[in-house]
Amino acid sequence: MTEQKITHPQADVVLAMKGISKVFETQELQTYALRSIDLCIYRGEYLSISGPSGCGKSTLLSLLGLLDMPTSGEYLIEGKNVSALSLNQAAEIRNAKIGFIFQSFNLIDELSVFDNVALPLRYHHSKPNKQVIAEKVKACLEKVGLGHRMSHKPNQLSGGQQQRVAIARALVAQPAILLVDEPTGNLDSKSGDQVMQVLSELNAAGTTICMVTHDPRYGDMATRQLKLLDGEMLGAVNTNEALSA
Amino acid sequence: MSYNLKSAVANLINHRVYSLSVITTLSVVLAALITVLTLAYIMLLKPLPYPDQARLVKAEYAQIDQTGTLNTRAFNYPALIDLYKNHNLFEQVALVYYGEQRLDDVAGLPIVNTSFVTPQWFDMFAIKLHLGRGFTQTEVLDSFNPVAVISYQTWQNDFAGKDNIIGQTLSIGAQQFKIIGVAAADFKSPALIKTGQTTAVWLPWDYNLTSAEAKPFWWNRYSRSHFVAKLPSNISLEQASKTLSQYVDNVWQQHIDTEAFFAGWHIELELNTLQTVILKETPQNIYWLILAVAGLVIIACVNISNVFIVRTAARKHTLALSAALGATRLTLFKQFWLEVALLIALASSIGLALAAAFLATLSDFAMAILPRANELSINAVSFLITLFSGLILTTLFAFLCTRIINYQQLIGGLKSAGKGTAVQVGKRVWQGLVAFQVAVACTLLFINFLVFNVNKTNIDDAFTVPLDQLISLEVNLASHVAADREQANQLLNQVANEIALLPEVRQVSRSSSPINDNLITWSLVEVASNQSVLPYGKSVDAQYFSLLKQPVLQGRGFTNEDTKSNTKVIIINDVFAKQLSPDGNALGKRLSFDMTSGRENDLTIIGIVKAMPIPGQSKAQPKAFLARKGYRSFIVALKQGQQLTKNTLNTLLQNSNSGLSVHQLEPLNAQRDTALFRHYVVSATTLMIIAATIALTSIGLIGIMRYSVLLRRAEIGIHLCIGAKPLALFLLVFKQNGSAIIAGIILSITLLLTLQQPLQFIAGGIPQIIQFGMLFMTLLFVISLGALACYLPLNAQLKRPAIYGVQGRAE
Repeated sequence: MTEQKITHPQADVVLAMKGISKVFETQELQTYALRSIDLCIYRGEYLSISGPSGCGKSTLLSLLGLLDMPTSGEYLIEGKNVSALSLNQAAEIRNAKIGFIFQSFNLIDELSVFDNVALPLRYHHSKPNKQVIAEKVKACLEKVGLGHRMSHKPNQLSGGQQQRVAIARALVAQPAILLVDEPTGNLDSKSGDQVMQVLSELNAAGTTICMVTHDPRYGDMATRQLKLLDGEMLGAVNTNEALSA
Repeated sequence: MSYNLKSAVANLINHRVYSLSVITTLSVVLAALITVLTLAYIMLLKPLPYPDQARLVKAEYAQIDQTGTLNTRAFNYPALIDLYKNHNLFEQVALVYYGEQRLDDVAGLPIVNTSFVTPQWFDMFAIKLHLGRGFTQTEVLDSFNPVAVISYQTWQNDFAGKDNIIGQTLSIGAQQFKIIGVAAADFKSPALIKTGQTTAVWLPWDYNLTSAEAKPFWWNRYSRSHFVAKLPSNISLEQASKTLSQYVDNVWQQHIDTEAFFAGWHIELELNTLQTVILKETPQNIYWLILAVAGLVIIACVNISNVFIVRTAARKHTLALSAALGATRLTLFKQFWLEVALLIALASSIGLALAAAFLATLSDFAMAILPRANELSINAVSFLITLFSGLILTTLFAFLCTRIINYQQLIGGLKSAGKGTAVQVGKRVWQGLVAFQVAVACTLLFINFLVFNVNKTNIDDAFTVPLDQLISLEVNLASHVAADREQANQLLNQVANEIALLPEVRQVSRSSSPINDNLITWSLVEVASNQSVLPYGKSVDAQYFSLLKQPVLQGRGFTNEDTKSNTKVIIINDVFAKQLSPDGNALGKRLSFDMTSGRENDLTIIGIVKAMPIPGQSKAQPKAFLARKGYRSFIVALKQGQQLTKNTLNTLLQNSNSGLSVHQLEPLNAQRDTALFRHYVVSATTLMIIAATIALTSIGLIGIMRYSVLLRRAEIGIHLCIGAKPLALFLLVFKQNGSAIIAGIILSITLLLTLQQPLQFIAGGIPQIIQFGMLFMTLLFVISLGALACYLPLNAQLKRPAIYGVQGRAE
């Protein structure tokens, strides 16, 4: 798989990585999870990253989502260098710019569907009032077809429905990008298809998506596909070139 | 069994940190538990080492005034002798008079404790003799047989354990006594008046030091004479007290009916068991200690439970394997029991050794404040306590470890490689642990802060004038010198002048130390109102107030002329002044010792001095001072940086007269420290309990919160992913545990309300507003501790990349 030709202007680059490496160290051993990754994700695109198990997909997604810090390299979100942020700064960017969707949904069992979805807004720096929160949550849940399940607890929903709640939660703060990690991994094929359908619709409506998957069927739904192997990006783009284009 | 034992030993060796933390915590707490319960056994349950000890009683001659208030407890001499001769009730009676006397023909002229006793004393306390005999019919009342029995320690220390001691003579005062016996080494004197009190020489009652003037007096305010008796087995304390009260009151009334001062007064004969008399207020202190240690044990148990929970959770894969291979729940319980038993056996052994060391230290150093301290050592009861507590704790912890295992899920656990929730503590359990820990910690901390505060106030307030460079000197007079009191007085005047001329000395007062005052009350009447008043009284010279820098608030102090010509003047303290006149202005008021003696003998109040609480007493008492020089007591003020040795003073005294020697030379600061020793010990004990409570609670809460955060790692990870800041997460965790902390606080307040009555007794004069403040600060402190306990494990998780929490969930 080769990298598609980059034709986007610099202003459209949402995320950019330059020479990013991630090394896990023990006393005796150094393991490169990622090695000199160059990557650009453009506004409105639907990027899929695939590769075999253990190739570094999830590590890459963690770095993209500021859930982990790279060992070396430079990382920019909407042009701002985020390689070395404090805990509070990283939290703010995660809240405002990034939406996460995990394989295992990661909903909080004790909270209702409504409260799960509302959570990012409660942490938002603008501190929206209750009415605004209610409107946004309702809109997001309706977008994923679950407007009627707001007061349910996650364990009262099917796997597919839970993943759609997770999508609604990822969308509610209107992030610059959705980072999606094996969204169908815990779902049957029917539910998986439904979730992928929702993601496609979101992208069609302008949402930028970066998805990690090992399922080629769903990878093909993306507008751009990249492959990771042993921590290296195959056919990777030259980020400097892309940023200066 | 042997396989289980081997595997248990291996388990403990392989997890040294876990084993060490359990053993350390438990051994310290068990040491405290064994020490306090052994102490409680000896103080509260163990019989006194005397025959029929439960029936031994001490009689108190309680003088009740016309308002029905207890005025004082003191036998007058004729009443004591009358009761001794005519009681007709007790199975056996004995008299004792306690003295302190010099052994005139022993090298170094030691001053020893003497007990003048009737012969029954030897039977009643079963005094075993190492040599010779005790007192018998030949030493009965009025037999005047000059014999003496000495203690084993006196024989060893002052007579070098000579074999031919029996028949030798002993010079005490002007009298020669023939030594007829040496008490056994292990005899323990009953400490009737002072904790730790011992007797070096027993002398016949006939030679007691009651003055000839006092012997016919039917009233007095303090006495060194005591009455001990054995109750018949068929008569209760109350019955005996009631019967004898009537008798002693009748006799007393017949002899004081001409004294107007005692109109409306009566006598009650109070009987207290010897155990009560010897223990004094110790039982209350022991109960509080038991409560405090019980609290510490509970906190430690919660902490250790937490360690066991985490350890069990960490072993879930091994447990799953065991279950899959056929281990039943009972098998697992046995396995846990053996492992816990090994740990607790080790901790108990260390705890027992530590307790033995504590008890030995207490026995050596706390003689003056702890009754029966000489009996303190590890005994069979200590071993039983160790065994019993060890068995309970082992079973409790093993049960807990088994209880948190979901056996059904454990069997299925292997299918998911040991992952899952087969071993987990429910939210209620850990919330219960937090609440319980908070409740015990708040209660213990508040009570100990209160006790510490009361003691600190007593220490701070006790005689606050500067005592540096002040020493108390007591001079001993040989009997031939003391024989003529007037001449001896002049000699001591001369001694005072010579001491004042020493280059080390700044000033000398012929007054006794204010620290060790014998608190004698004076029966006075305020002349204008004819109101009876009973202040403590003290005779002092003109130098006393200036030397002690005790402020004169109104009027003036004494002059040399006042002491020289016995001017009819009196100085009182401000507490007494307020008693006489609510505005405190009592200058010019007149007081009389005897209203019938004519107004020319009235004493006019010429000065009011600031009251000084006496060390060991919680508040200042009313006190009056007369301008009279002391007899053989001096207070010496030294120049800055100077010292005065006993040798220097002995040389000076011997040069004046060979019959004079130093009886006691002690800095006033040291006297103050001795008087406050009990308060220092209580303060130190409460501080140790406070420190132990804080340490154990911190460890416990952090441990529980760590586990709570561990359980919620995934949830925290999710919050991090969606942009929660550290502060928001801290508030989230704190809120999750807040209900448990609040429940603990409510439980603690309920407990404290239940204990309100004894607490108010302890709190003494501490105002309620201060008590509320202390409670508020305690609660705030424990809440802060809870907050810190939430923050530390959360912070540890925040330091790791956020993805780890979510991945944990994904596993």
